[in-house]
Amino acid sequence: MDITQIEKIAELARLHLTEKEKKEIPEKLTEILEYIDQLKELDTSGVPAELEQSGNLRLAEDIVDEFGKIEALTGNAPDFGDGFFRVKKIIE
Amino acid sequence: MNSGGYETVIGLEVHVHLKTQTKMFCRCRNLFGAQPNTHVCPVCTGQPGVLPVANGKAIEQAARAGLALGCRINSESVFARKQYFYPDLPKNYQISQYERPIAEKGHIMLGDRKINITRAHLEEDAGKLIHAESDVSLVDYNRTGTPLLEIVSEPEIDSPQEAAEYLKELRQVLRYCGISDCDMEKGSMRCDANVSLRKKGSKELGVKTELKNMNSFKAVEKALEYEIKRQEKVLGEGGRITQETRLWNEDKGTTRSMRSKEEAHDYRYFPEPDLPRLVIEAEKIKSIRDSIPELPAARRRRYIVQTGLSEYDAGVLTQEKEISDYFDAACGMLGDKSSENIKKLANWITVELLGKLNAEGSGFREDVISPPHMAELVGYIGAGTISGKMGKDIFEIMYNKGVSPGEVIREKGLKQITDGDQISAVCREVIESSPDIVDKYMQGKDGVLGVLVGNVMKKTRGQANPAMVNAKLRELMGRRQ
Repeated sequence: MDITQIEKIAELARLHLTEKEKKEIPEKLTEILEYIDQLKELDTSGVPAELEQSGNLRLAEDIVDEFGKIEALTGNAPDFGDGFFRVKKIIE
Repeated sequence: MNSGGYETVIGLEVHVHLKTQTKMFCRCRNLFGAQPNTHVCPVCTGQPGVLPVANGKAIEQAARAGLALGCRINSESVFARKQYFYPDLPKNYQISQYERPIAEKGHIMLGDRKINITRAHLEEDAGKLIHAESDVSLVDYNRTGTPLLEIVSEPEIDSPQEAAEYLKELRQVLRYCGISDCDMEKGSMRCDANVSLRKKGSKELGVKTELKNMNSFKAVEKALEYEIKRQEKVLGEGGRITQETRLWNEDKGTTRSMRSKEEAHDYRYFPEPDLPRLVIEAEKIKSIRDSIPELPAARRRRYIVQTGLSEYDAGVLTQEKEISDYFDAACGMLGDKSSENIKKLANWITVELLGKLNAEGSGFREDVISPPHMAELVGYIGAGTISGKMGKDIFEIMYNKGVSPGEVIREKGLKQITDGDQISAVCREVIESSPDIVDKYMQGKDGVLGVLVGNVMKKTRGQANPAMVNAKLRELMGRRQ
């Protein structure tokens, strides 16, 4: 892991790292990656992948049940007016 | 399509909103056009600590779409997180499917051309952004979490026209199955197009651009045409195509680079930890398969091969399932199912009924004239009980009052007169009262016969059988000679 990779990940994750952090983090992340490499050495052939929670997906019936307390959601917003959440202009 | 030694390669990614009552992972109403932020809850606005619960109906709709498109349905599929930051996505990730989508390997037939479908996967829509004021964007989360199906074609489409055909066929299939309204203007069907050029005969794909923001089939066609010309020009001048996303501008008729997307294509997918894998039992797949109606392509074929309709008529009758169902119902009620009569029925539906509904700007409705009434009307015409002209007058009354043609005929005494003696009597009267015209006819001016026929029709209020009148007049005047 080098600084360029860390900067890219930070950019994608919208993290603002100090210069000090940028220097420290590559080493720490590298340690984690090495641990993953170690795990990869295990022979898992014949073991089915079980990435998700066990069991099948529980499905909901398609029946409307509105939350109804919209103020509880809009009240948390830094800027809300005329029925809309307001954010800094998105330019595209 | 190829020009300047290049071949066009197009692949389409189509998103459709699935018809459900509620959203994909919460039970907020799935509704277009409501007041902003009135169908939102902690789940679809991404509040901390909430958990998604998948909508069974949405999954059924997705499987139905997959089956109707000839796909294999994966008995196990996996939801994944696709991460990016944008104000229309309150969780900062979209739940989608990545490695194992619900459906794979289908196709759409365009005549004899087969366009393969790579995959169809389930996901949730983002919210809607409105750029109204100068320094603020407005966000409406009603659409957030709407069940979406993304259908990805192989890069096998070779012209903008074929792309439009593919979209029309896809829309028709999905509408037939009640999976989606597929209304591009309302955003319930959206299309991104990947397009590249390659030297004619080359197997390798060229660098592609992705086109977005087309709001109609026509716009997809125009955007592709523009982009192909643009790429041809760049390559023709020895330049290189940059892989990028480009936005279609409908007013200017051009595409422009959408720079912000260039860096963002690292979505860091991983399996959604809040949702176990989705298992669909074989039995369930079978019952969904059984719910799929006869599809438009099969109906078109049936109309052409079995009932002898033209390709054009078959196309018009199958444009919407409701019209095709109406035709089938009326056809089944025809007493005389000769191909001539069936052709008549098709004409009365496509020309008269659809013509009138279109003129009124309303979609197809079968309640104005029910299938049995329509079959009855065509039956009377086919049997010669009424003439085509009388049929049109009766049709008007049926359309406006919802009554059966039999009732109209009885009430107005409109039945065609086919009684020889009766016709003969009226013909005699007309001949007696028009000596000048008869003289002209006798001098060989056959054209004036029409005037005499017209007079007989007038006297019988249009009810006399015109062919019989014609023959009777000739016969009577022949005798006088």
